[in-house]
Amino acid sequence: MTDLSPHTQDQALLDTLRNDKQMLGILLLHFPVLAFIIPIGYGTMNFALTASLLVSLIAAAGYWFLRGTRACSALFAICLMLSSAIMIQTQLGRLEMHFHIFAALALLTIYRDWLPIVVAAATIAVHHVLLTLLQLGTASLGDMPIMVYNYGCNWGITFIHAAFVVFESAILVFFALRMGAERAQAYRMISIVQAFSSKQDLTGRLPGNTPTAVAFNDMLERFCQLIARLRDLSKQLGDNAEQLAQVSSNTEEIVEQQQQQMERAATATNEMSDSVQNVSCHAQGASEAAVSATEGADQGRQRMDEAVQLTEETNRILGQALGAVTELENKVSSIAQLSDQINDISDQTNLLALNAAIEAARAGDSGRGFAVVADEVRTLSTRTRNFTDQIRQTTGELRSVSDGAISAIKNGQQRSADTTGAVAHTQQVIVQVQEAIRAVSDMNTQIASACEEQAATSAEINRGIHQVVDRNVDIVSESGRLNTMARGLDESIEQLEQMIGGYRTA
Amino acid sequence: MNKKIALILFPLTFLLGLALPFLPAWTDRDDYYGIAVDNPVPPLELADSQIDNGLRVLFFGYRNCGTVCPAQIVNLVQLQQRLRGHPVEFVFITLDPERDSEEVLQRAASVFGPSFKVVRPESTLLAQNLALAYGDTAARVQSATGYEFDHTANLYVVTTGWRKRLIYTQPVLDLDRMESDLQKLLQTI
Repeated sequence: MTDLSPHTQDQALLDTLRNDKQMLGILLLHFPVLAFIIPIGYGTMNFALTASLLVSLIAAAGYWFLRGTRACSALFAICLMLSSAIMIQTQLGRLEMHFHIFAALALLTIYRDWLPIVVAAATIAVHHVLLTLLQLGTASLGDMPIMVYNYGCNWGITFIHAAFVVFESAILVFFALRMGAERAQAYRMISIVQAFSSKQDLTGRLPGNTPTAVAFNDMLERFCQLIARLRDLSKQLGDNAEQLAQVSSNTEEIVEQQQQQMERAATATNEMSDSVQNVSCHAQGASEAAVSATEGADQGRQRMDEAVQLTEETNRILGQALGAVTELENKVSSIAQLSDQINDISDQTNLLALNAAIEAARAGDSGRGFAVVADEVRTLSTRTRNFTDQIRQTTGELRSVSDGAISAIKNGQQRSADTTGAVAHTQQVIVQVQEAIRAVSDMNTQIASACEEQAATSAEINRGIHQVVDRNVDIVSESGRLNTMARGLDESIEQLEQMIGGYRTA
Repeated sequence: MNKKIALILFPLTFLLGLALPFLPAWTDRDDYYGIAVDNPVPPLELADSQIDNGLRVLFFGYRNCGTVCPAQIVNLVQLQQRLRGHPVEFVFITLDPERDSEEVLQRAASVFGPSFKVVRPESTLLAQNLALAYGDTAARVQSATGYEFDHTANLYVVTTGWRKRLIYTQPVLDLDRMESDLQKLLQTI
């Protein structure tokens, strides 16, 4: 029984103690029977009383000091056999009293041990052999005769009795051993079950291949398999829960990002809505501006027409100016010719004055008065020359001025022509601009209406986004719940694992 | 501690076992050689009894008995001689009425002496029951040559008032002491 747990050893001890107690009870119950009932009609009460009292005392002492040990069971076995002996002796060797031996031997199977049975058989055998010897020797000890059997006493009878005792003892030992083995198995079973319940140890197995052991071991094996399966499942479940938690937190993360993006999108669509509104307004403004630009362009064209007229007028005036200047130049040229003629007259005058002076000088004093006139004439011619020079110079200047004026006028005419071209071109451009503006205006109108539509769509989108955002909140909360659930699952799995984790199955 | 106790208890029990046969000698310390008792016993029909107040020594046996009976009968005969004149009768009760006829028994009784009486129950069964009532057992055992009785073969001393007073369980008897037992008992009744 050394392979049993302490608890089971306790159980075994408890069982032995209970057996001892019961056996003591049986032995003590023998006392009144032996002392007061058996002697009736035989007058041997003193002996029976004394002897059974002594046996009871020994049994009590044995229980007091040795209970729970095999020694106690052996002692009780001897006591039972002594009770048998007392019984036989009290009824002076009556045959029926011998039955007690067999009953008492059977009682000893309570211990499920061979030892008390063998001890009892040995005790009664020794006792009988001894008493047979005494009876055959007709030994009378004291006043009391010795009687093993109250009829003929011989070794043959002793041998028959011994054979029966051996036979019964053998059977009882066989039963006791079998019951002992069954009890040991029961203890092992209890030990295994206790190991299971206290230490969650499922590694214990019953030895042998009895149907009980096989069935029990099979049950344990199945239990182990069940736990192993449970463990696997729990692991799988744990993995799944982890994945679930992972997925849930990923979802949460994604949804959060999405939420942020959606919020941004919502803001963006709001902004876009505003922008579209602005664009629409601006397009409206632009359209209006284009209309006023068209008006401006029309005015510009009128102004251009006026400018063309003005230019043409200027051209005409410039032509007149050119004629006047040309005429002036012609007059200046005639002045120059006149001035040259005056210059020639002046030169000849000077030459004549000089000749008069010479002649006056020759005439002496008569001539002096002439000489003074000659000199005056020369001075006058000189001064004329100076004047004509100045005129020539002035006409020259005039010519150059009029030439400049002509060239300026021509330049002006050219410019004017250029201006006319430019204006015409400008007019053309203005027309193009007007067309462009009209196109722009049309486009702006289209833009404005498109913007309106876009604004409506954008508002729609915004609403949609808000709905998505709202749903996202739901998703986040659902995902949170999922996470909680996964965590709960985790906890459950942890509990499960704690529960099954402790089981030693191999 | 326990070992010491065991070392004391076991020899003690062994000694008690050994002492059991000798114990009665100590527990029944009376003045009698036989086992002194005082139990009522069923009365026997003795037609030719000559005593009113005295003792009877009873013996259950059978004529074909070859072992203990002759020894006891010798004892009885000798006692009869010793106690001549005293109110003591000796009764032989047959366990085997089938083979021990009334005639045979009476003849034997007359041979043994005047105070020798015989009782013959009507059947073996009645004889066995009677013996049992006195504390004697008689088992009929078949043998190759016929049948025998395994029986106690005690001697019982009973009063004329049918009370059993003394038992002698052995065929080998100290007749002096038995005689003095009977003398002593006679004085008490």
